[in-house]
Amino acid sequence: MAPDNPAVVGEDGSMRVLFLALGANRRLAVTQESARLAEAGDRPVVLVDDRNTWAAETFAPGVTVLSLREQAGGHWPTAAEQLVLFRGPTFLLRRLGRRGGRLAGAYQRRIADRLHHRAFLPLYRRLWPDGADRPLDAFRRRQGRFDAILVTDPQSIPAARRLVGPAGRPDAPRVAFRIDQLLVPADPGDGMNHKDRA
Amino acid sequence: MARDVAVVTPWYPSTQLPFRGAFVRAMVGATAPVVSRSTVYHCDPWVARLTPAQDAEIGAALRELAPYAAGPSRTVGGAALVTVPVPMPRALPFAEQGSRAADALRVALGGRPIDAPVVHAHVGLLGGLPALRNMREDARFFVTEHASFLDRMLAEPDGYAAYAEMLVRCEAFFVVSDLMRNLLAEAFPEHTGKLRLIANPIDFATPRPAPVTDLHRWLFVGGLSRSKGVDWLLEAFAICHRQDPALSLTLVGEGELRSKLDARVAELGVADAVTLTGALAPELALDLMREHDLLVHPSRSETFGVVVVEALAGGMPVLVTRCGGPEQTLAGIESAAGELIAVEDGTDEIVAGYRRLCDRFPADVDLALARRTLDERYGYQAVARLHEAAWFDGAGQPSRGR
Repeated sequence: MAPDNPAVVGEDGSMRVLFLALGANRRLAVTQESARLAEAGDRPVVLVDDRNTWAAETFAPGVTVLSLREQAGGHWPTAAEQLVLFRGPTFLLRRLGRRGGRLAGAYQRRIADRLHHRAFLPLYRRLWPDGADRPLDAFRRRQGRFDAILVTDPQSIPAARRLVGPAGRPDAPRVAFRIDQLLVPADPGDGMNHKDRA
Repeated sequence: MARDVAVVTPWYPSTQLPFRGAFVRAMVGATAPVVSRSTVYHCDPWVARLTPAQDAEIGAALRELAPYAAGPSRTVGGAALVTVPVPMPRALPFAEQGSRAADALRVALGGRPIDAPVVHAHVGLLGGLPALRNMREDARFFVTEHASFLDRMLAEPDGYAAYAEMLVRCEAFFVVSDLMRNLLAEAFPEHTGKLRLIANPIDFATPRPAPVTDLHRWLFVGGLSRSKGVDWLLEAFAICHRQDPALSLTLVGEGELRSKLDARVAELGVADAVTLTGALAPELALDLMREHDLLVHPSRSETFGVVVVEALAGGMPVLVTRCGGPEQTLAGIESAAGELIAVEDGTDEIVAGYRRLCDRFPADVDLALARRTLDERYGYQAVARLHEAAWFDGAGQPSRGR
């Protein structure tokens, strides 16, 4: 049977694919699927929320990893929150050595992340309706267009919606939830080689 | 009318969970020759810590993203694979998980019903409800239950009610073990006539390059969890390894015990003999079965125990607990296939079972007989015939009133 969707390719035959991994809870899919693309000569970019959360993971050569928290977008409350709630405390805790690394991780998961999502983000949305989205907008301005967006976890779905842009945009990137959706199978059910067909 | 079949399932192998739903994929592959078009709707539960506000925002964004979604990918047998993410917070009741999957599938379908005259759902509420809520009124409906948490689904009032709804609507309800059939027959005596036993299809076509000549290379394939008994397996292996340093053990899989097992391997001084591969794609795990000598599977409970049959398909004997599924799948060929042992918290049964098996291997083990028997029971052709008979009448049309 023929594929229902053609491969998504750039002008040079390679795809520029954005992996949205802001929730960091499906890591194996992110590292392995981005590696598959990079090995095929494509240009995967992985956007994570916090680079530290992914410290234990290994990304393949050719995979660009960027952090949303490093895209402050000129929004001073977000930058201040990052400094006071995340960077400052984790920097100090990590000074305590190996145990400090574990403490920093626990602090971030149990306190900082919860405060960020339950207190700061709702506050920003109330006080500065577009403030919470500024890092993502800054990321989009800097990175330009992607051929496709691969959504890898629930927390990334709203970001994908924002990056896709207004409804009906003709050059909107395709959105996938599994890398196979963007690749044309050379042999149904087995290995993929979209460039053979593109 | 074409022989079109839609399969709706919460479990299907993915990069994140390469083993989950391998039996559904096997069923799709096995039935490919008897259908003209097959579409798999993988309603993949994406569970995360979410606040109610996040949950609502994600649901709204997913609905708006639907028009931009790339088309289906391809899976075994040329079937189309539609990936439907089902975002949800942790610890939802089963019926709500199923309802969310139904909503997500409706979004993915653009509000249209599933375009197939035959719809086969896997995993009770989690695949059955999305199928039931999105299929055509005239579609024929079948369900296969594999879930080891069937009793917990039925214990929830909403879960029980939704299950009853599925049983009323479906023409046949397949289960993979007597345990499940008894549970459902007790809960829904009025639907006992619809319950049928079915096997997970297994590939017996790939031969083993060289037969097993001794039982040195042990293999475990599955989740690294207490429910699989993998902690006792490691301890038992260390005891046997002390007496025979030629033994090795490969643990394939991931799970909550991974870091503890890593540490225990070092404490026991068997680091040179034990390999933890992590999760592997099912094809690689099957390759390993053809390269090892003995599958040791000391699970506490299994509804079917597909890995045991896969190991025998790969030409290796098994040392396996009587944990529900294996004593059924190996009925009549227990001795030919290897050794069955009691479920026990400890190492004694595993060690004693291994020694008994060593004492009578290879003279009193008949792997060819075990393999032939299992192929007849669980091979692709057997499973395809069973599905074909249920889905279509003799003229190849979807049939009614069976």
